[in-house]
Amino acid sequence: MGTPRALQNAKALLASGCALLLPMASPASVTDSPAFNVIGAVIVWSADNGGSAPVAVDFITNTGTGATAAASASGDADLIAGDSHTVVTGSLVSTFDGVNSAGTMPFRIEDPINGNFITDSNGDGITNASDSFSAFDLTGDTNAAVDGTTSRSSFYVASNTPFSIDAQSQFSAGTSFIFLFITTLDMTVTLSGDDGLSFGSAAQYPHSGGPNGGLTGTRTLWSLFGGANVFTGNQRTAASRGSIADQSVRFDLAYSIGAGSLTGYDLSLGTFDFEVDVTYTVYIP
Amino acid sequence: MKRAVVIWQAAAAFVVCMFAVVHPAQAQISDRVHFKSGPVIMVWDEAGTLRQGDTVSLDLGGQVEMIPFDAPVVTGLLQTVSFTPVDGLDETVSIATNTAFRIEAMSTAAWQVSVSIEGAGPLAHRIGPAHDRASDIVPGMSQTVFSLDQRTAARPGAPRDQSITLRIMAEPTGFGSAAPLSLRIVPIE
Repeated sequence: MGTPRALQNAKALLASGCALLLPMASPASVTDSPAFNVIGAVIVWSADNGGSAPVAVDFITNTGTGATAAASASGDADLIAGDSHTVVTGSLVSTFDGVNSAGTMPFRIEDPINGNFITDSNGDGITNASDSFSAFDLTGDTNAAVDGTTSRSSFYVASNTPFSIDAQSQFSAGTSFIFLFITTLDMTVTLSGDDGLSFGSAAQYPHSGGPNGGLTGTRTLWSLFGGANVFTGNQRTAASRGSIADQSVRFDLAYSIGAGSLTGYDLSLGTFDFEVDVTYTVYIP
Repeated sequence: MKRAVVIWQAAAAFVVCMFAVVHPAQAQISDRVHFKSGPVIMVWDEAGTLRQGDTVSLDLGGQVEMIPFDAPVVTGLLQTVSFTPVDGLDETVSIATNTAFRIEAMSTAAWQVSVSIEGAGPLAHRIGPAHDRASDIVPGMSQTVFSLDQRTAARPGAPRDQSITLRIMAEPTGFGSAAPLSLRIVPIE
């Protein structure tokens, strides 16, 4: 007799349980899906427009997939607005006025009695008050011609992802085209050092090929006129834990005019002043 | 149908504009490449006897001095010629330049300075007939005693052939103790 009653109770319990599973006229639910994501980021530091250094001047996040530096193409976002300047290689001095603006290109003195020499006695690429040389004996064959030279500048990059760099040369009206053809750019990467701020102690080269890996080789400034890729990396710079500077590498830029391109440029051709801006844009492909 | 296309185009343009607003333009690192060959002046004394008195600060001795414009204090370069006015000055120097230049004189005493062009090398600009120019130096004031509005070097070659030769004469004109006279060669840009 007890069994049918128990069965009835069980049915009632089941029915009420099923009722709980039926749609209810209750308020709409809110779904939350916590997610955390670390996207690629690249920090560039150098000198700001006011000449102060070291200053983080670019903070680029990987918000796109484009393969060129143009913001509309790469889709990346640079969270620090404004442009900046490179620094003189080995220092934190801004290149706002140009590395070689504080002097004249060296002269090569040929065929004096005591032997040929170059007026850039300290090897900094220019002849100015920091150079010194003795008076030299003159003959009828002694020549004085502008010598080739190299201007060196740098900027620093720390990243948690591979990145690329495009470069573009820009010049103003009046700039001699010939200098765009004879001025070359060579890029290299320095892993670590101390230029007034120690860098690179927790870094690795941004390309597995080392200091020259991922670089496009020697280019003329003319070839950069419309913009071109100059570096494509395949690994992040940050190799281990450390500060931004510790995880940074230095990109070194060497602009050269070879002596062979200046053959015959002696006193009779007068003076010249060549200035061109080259802009570098870092992005994450 | 055309209206739908226009609407879509407008929508697309709006999205592009929004994207441009949300994502700031890529900042760039600017590098200013600057090369220049500045004014250079080479001076030498053919006779090797540019001296006066016992306190001559410059004795070229037949050698060449080079004067980059940006190097006013470079060791061994001629920037200022100073001497004690014992018997005055009468010297001949050769100058080769890639720039126009002037010669300035200054002293705390009164002097008269005369600069004349004695000749020019086969590759130098034709300066014109030799002429004399005498200038009275007022004590305490820098004064131009010679200027050339073009470089001496006209065609490629050796500086010796691109040079002009100047004769510089000076004598004190004041009374009392004499004071050194400074001559300075300055590029004109």
